[in-house]
Amino acid sequence: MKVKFGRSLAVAITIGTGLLVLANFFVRNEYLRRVQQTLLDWAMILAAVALLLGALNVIATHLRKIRGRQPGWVYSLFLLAALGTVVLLGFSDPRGVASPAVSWVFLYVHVPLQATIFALTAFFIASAAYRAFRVRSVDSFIMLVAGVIVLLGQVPLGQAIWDRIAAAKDWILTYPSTAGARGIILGVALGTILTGLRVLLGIDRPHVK
Amino acid sequence: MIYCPNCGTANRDGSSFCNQCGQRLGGGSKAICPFCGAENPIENIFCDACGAKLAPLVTRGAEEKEKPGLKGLSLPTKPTEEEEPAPLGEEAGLPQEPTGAAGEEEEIPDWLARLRASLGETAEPEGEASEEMPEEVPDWLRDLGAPPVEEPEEPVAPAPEEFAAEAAGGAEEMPEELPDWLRDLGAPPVEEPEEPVVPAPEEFAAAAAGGAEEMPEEVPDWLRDLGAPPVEEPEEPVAPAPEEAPPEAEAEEAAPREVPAEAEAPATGVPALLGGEPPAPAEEPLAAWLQEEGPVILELSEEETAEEEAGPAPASAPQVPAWLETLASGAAVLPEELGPVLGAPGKPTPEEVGLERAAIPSWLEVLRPGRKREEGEEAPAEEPAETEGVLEGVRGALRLVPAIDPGPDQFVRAVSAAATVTPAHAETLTQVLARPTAASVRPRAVRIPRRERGLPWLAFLLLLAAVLIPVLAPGLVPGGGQVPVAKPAEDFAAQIQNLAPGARVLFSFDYDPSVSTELDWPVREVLDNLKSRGTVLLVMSTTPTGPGLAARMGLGNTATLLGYLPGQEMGLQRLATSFSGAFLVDYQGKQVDETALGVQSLGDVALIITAASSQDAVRWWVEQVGSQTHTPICAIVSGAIEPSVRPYYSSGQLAGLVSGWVGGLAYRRAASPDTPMSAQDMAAMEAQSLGHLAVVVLIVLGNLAYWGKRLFGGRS
Amino acid sequence: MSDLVGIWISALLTVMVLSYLLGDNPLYRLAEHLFVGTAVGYAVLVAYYSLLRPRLLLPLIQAPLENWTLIVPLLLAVLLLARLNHSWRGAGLVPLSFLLGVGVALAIGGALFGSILPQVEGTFVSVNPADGGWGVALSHLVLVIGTVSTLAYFYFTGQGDTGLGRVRGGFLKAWRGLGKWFIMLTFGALFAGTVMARLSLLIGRLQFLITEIPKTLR
Repeated sequence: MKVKFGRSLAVAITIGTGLLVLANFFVRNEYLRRVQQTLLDWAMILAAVALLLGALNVIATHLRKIRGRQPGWVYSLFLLAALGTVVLLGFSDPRGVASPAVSWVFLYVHVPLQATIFALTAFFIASAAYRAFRVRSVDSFIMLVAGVIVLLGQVPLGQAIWDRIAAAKDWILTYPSTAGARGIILGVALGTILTGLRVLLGIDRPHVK
Repeated sequence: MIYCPNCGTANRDGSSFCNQCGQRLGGGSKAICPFCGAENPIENIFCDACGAKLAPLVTRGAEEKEKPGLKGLSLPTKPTEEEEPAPLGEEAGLPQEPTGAAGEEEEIPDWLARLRASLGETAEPEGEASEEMPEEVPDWLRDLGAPPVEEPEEPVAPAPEEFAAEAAGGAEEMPEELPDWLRDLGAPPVEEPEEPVVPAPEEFAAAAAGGAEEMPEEVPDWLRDLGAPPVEEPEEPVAPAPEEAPPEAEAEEAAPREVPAEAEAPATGVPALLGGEPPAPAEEPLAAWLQEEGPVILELSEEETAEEEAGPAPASAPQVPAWLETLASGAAVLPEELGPVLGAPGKPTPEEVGLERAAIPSWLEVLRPGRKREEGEEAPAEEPAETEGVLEGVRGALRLVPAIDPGPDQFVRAVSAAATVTPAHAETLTQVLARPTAASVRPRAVRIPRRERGLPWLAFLLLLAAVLIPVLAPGLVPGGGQVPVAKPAEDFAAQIQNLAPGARVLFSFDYDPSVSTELDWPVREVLDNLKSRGTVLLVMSTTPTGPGLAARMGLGNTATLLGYLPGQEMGLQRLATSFSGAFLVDYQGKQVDETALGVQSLGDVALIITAASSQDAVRWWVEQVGSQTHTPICAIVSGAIEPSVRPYYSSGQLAGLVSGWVGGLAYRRAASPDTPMSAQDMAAMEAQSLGHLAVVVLIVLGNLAYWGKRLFGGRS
Repeated sequence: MSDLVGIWISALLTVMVLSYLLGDNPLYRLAEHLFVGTAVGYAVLVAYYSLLRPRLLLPLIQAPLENWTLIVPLLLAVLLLARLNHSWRGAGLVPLSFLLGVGVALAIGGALFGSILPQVEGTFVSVNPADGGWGVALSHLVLVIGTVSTLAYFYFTGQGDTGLGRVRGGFLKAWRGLGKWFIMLTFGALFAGTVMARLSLLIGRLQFLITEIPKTLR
């Protein structure tokens, strides 16, 4: 009974808040706009709390790993040490993330690390281009031709090979590629509306499952 | 460990079926009879219920010891007219034995003839036999020319192969109501064999294994696999006890108990059921399904055992097989009602002359649909008749464990382990009978060839070289200084050109440090351009790291760093609803002075620019903000998402689009055509060119290698 | 000085990450964990300084009566944090439901007014050669056909048993086949864009190592 009430309450909250926010897209009303504004403010606060929740989860996971001496627990030590250092540096300065110490860590540790990790993917794309990009059908042939034209059309070397390749690239990106991407956008949007309506009508209840 | 009573293989405790032969196992202290399933004390040699011998009987020649254990059933199929039946041995991967020449000219194999001889010794020639058939014998049976059956004390079905041989020649005489397979059985008259003794199935199997080469050509594959001329030594009716636990391959290689010396080959000998084709020279070892099943086991009554041990084993009195009777009448007909099939009146019964009871060969016994019921015993539940395929009309031909039950039938002389086939085997049998045999397909193991394991390294090195050479030695790549034209970037530049000095521009850093190397440069170009035009920059971010990236741009006092707006689309909708209150503190933590900003709503902003690495960020801006305000939105995006956001530019929802580093160059060319490209920029552009070319080369090489292997190198 | 040290540390971390090309190794794992640690720590600071402190804590502390409505998000925040404890996971249902309702509504409104209507409107392009020439007209036709066929690929199947159903099924099958080609073309362009983006990243990092590090040595 308790569980059922809780689930019903949850669904009621979802439907109620959803309808209030959705109404603003169709009805221009100052009161409705203020209600939406308040709800969105609360949602932004909760989004920040969700960010905290994620961070606490990471801390708990790695603490558990260290306590249990699971494989790789030494790395978890470094992770928590880095996390603690950044947080301590931030809380020690009222400017928080804008403090020089945190900015330094962000600039010389965080950004280079993330940028280089992503740069690694260039090698694996090259490897995949050789091993996986196989023409086995008309579909893959079309994909290959479009990929090669756009690849070479984006750089001056391609124009040195074929002077009209840049125009071909532009045409592909402007018309057929846009058509395909637009179809995907429309499809996703239609699906989003259908799914959203199902949730707002209480048919789907993903959060109470 | 539990030792299989069928083949003697040691199995783990708790096993229900033998790993080698599939025999049902009992408890640790019990031996399960493979014929009737009765539990016997482990020390029993013969079954208490049916008298079958519990200990496996295995004899095999030395040459047969090397035969590999075979897995799975390999069953005969009805070959089409145009195809020659492939030897089952080939399919099973068995070594092919040379085809012998003996008996090729004969229509029925020697082994069949000898089997029939054991019946024919006490039987009249077919013509005579038919006259002497008791009236209870159905017409179809009479037409087969089988000698009359005398009521036996222990009716034993004659070897079905004998019957098959007989039926082969008389197919045309069969009544129409019979199933096709039975109709095809029409056998030629049986000639009196010299040896009256019907070999036990194990003898037969061993003969098949050892003498396969003597089989005539018309014998079908599966039969060929079995078919061996009878083995010698009728004086030793009892096959020697197994010397060791026989593996699967040895199962069917047990020496026959007795073998008729010579027999004339039957005319055609094989019923459609069993292949339907004239016998062909057998050159293969035993059929896989036969070999797999473990040694055949004799079922001997105690008196027979005594007789065997005493001297030449007596032949059994041939009788109408129960399965045949059942088929003929469509109902269970007890053999005693039909009277003896073999043996003429006035002639002594086989037992009287010391003949051994005929044994149904293992491969046919499995097809026995019924059995003679003991007195007082309940009639077994009648199996439904098959409705399709070659077994149409046959009852109980295929029975699954525990349904496969040869029954506590004392007449079952020899039941191969195939009678206790596991459900998997039975299913395989059904499938094979239902459709033609297809070539077996061995799953290909996925293995990366050695040379392919080094290919990622080649790709890495090629790419590294393509990128490093221009960086180390710029100017080598043709067209290096040429900047491609991009209309979206030109539109972007035009939007900024249209800004009046002091116009408010909301610039959102919506990318994370992962693409900072790519987007920092075009973002800096746009920011520099905006600053040079005297616009008021309001810098915000929908990602937590955005403000940090913005702070690296060296904006100084020319911009207000509003900080992080959480909630993604929720935060943007909040911003679109009301600018006021969207940012309470700035990046430095100071209170935001909205008045000083001069912005109450997004309508007060002249241009919105988002620098995004994900298509979602662009979509949020377009959906939540673009639909609520008329302020133009431009985007600086990573090259990876340009095709995804092009529709927004195409529909006018984005007023301008700069894509990646190359797009930034195009923007600069459009915004500041007089500004020359720096050496670093030129090197980067050349590296980009070569890198693109390297990737194209890798794609082409990969496809050439793939297709070359497919077209010229066989299967890839 | 701090910049010099910072550049060297950046270079060291860059090399540690690039060592992954040789295979997974402790240096890469260490760099990876350092990245996660700094990212999470940074997110905590942003969440606190940019949001929780100015939007929730300070108003409630400094002017609780004026901001009494902030009790609701405070309670919701506490309930959300209760999800950390397995026994109290159910308590987080309320804030999650709230977030879901708001998010779903925004998604519906945005999809309808921000994507579907404008994109459909953008597909209404002139295929009249008189408006821009045959080239433009044919290109616009490609745009229209491509958009419709791509949608047909995603949404429509249908093989009926009747004659009309079979005709319709065949027609849709042709459309879907064409849509698939357009999608494959778009994927080809996406692949090219991804290659360009990732190469840019690699070039940027290598240029940093090759140009910035020697500068610090001078």
